[in-house]
Amino acid sequence: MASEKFRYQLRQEAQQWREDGLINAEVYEQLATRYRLDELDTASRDRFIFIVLNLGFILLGLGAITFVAANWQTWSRPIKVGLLLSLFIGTNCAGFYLWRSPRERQSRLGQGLLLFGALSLGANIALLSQMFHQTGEAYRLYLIWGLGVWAMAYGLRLTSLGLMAIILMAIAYCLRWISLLGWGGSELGWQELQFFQQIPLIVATLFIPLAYYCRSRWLFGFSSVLITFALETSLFQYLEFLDFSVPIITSVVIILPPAWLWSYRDSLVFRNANLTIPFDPISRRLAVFYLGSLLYLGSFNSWWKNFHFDSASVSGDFDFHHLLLLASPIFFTVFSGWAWWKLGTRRTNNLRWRLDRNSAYMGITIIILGFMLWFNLDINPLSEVGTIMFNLLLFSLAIILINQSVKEGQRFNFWLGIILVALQIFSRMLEYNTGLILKAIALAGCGIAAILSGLWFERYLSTINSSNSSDN
Amino acid sequence: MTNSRPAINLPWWKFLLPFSLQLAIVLLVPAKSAYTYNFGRDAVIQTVPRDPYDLLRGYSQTLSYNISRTSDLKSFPGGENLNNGSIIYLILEADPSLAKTPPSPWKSIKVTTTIPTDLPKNQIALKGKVTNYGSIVYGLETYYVPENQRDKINQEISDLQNDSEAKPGAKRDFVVEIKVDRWGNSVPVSLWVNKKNYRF
Repeated sequence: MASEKFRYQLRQEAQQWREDGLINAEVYEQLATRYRLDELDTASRDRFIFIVLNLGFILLGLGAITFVAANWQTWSRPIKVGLLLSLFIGTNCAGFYLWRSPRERQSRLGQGLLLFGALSLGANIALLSQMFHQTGEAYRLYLIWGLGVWAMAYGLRLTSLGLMAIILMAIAYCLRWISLLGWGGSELGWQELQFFQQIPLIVATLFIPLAYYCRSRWLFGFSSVLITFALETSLFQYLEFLDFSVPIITSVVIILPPAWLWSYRDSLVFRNANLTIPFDPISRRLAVFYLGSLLYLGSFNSWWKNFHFDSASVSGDFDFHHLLLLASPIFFTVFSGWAWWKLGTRRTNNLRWRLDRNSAYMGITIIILGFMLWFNLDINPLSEVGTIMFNLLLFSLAIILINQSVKEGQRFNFWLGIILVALQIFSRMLEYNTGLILKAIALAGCGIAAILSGLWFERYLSTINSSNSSDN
Repeated sequence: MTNSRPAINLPWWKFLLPFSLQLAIVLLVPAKSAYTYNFGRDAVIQTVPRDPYDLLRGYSQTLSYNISRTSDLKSFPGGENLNNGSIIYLILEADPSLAKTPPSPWKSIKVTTTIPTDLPKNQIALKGKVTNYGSIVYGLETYYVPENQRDKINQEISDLQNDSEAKPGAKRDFVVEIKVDRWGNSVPVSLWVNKKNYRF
């Protein structure tokens, strides 16, 4: 079935053609049946109902959780447990039953009920933990709740539950960080530390296949972001644990996200996924976004002044006993190496290994970054040189993005490039104490340039589109 | 018009398997505590409070005990075993004086690294974990209180603390009744503030 947008346009056009006499009523009817033009209105109304229904069920679920948190004493414990357990069992079973129904509306109601059932799982866990005054941190509850919802998402192949599960995992991970940073007296046992160091791998094995199974780009994107975040935070956890610094590991882990995100292809692991829209553009966008943010951070001179270890704590060699804590970074490093090698291997095997221009730029930038970070941490602080290099790299990234977007007519890259250039100039103006008049001129210049290039680009896009459609 | 489409032909086990996993999670979370609560023995310990909030479980009193600081337990026999990260068992003995309200807290006797098997009737072994911050966690540190009684309880506790500050040496009647099972696991049961008993 063609996309909904296309069907809307087709209906509008076809009605016009019929009025103009280009096609007769019979052809129009044929078009209408073939593209199900009559169902367009019901489809959009159904979708609206679906969203409202889901929103309602989510609010209901949050209501149940807040009810537990209120710890209301008018109802005794057995009544509360009985009520919440039967709510949990009832909504899940009814939800599954309705969801399987051939009638679209019942099926959607069922899906909403399943979502509510997943939320009531959390309410039940919270209630039973509260009843016995368990001391454990809340993130453990979110973690097992997330795993429970994940299992259901896998069983039923439901994107909505998958998204809820990844959000719960993210909440668990963030809460743990908060409790570690604060002086909550929370004590990380060795086993728990080991477990949380493996979160990038766990998310990758649980959620990336689920994303392909559900064909959900959102799920894939969320999982990639959580993996990246967990990779970087696990590095700090590791350094904290060691009590001394390892420059080579630090610099590798910092450049790891763009390395694996850029080289990742759907076909590497999920060859038979049968996707209508590929997922790898998402990971590439994330790679560019991460690289842009990192370069932007490093374009501040103060960042370089603070970014070094105490020389006393630096140690070249490290204890191999704790290698297990680095399992995730090691896995992703090996994976990236393999993926980059595959990236340059061309289909016809007699051709030499070669990267396309974008990937070559990406690869070189990542290597330069890694080398600079390592040099700065291990040999000698780079300070001004680092600042200048990062500014140059940032500027070149922005230019390449804009250049690329003009060639391919991509809106995202164009605006990301413009924002990076504008941010860079703006930040340098504020960072270095220049006169106000100069600041005013630079700001106004940036603004005018952004507006003009934006207007030009949007116009350019529409000319590309119209020439494409006239070609067809 | 009602849209119809082919029914989702999913076998029941694809639902029942994850569903039973979820049910197992719900039941496993409180399993150990429920055992201790129902089959454990009673004991009483002295406490000091704080007051945080948890989105899932609501308001609670964070309780710290006079047996929670490693520095206070060092002088007891076996106190040299209080190493960071280690599991210890604290032996408590009931106050021989007659039952009164509020009950008087039990007294620490000694610290061991393995659970004693031949304890007399008036003693219990309480399992705890020594943290890096010089404290011992027993799993008794949180007591959830209803939202509508939170302020009242907080007020009574702070009155009690002000009282005892005004009259140093006066005994503070702020104790927690707990249950301890034969492996040393424990759950808090009720809170005594002065002569009032709170059990939620």
